[in-house]
Amino acid sequence: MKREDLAIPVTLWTNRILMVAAIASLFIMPAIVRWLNTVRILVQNANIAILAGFYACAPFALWALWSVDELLRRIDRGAVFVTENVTALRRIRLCCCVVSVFCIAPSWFYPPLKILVVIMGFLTLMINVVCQVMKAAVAIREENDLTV
Amino acid sequence: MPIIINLDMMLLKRKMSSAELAARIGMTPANLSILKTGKAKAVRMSTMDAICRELKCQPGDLFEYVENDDPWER
Repeated sequence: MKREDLAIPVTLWTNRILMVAAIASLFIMPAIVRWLNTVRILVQNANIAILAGFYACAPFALWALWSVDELLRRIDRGAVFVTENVTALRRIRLCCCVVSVFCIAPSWFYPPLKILVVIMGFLTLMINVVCQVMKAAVAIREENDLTV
Repeated sequence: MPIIINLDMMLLKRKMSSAELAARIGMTPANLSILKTGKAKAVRMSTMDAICRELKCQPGDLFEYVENDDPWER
């Protein structure tokens, strides 16, 4: 098997592991926040704010991961330049943007989260570019399919 | 699109079926149907050459430009 052939399956399974980790974090997050509070990394009594931010972001993060899974499965089947992939990329872009915005308030209580805000914001822009490229590619494919 | 394809008319004149033309020019009936129904976005010169050769006609006999007056269709 060529290295290029492995790219999609490896990404697909890594994404699935991330999905499981994200679901697990829904249950262990309160304990993590309590621990962060005991080692005094957090601003005092910020547990509620951090947890509220986390649980607000969680559905969007899971939705984005699920969309990535759908996207990768379609690419694995050979359906690369299809409208459904553009829609999936739009959903992922929206989720990244929402997570970035929702992390702004908790980042005041836990400063390292500012990095996540910047990363998710930048990821939103990058996915937007990929989405536009995919949209153009779908148009080219359609034109190619309708050339006789 | 204001380009009308008169392929049906030419096929009738030559008493040839779409399937026969598709077989003669080495094209799938599905692709010929795309051309006949006006869904095609482009036509290759090689396809035009084959169609004109088999139907013994000029490209102008197959295509017609019609001014579109409907503002919603523009």
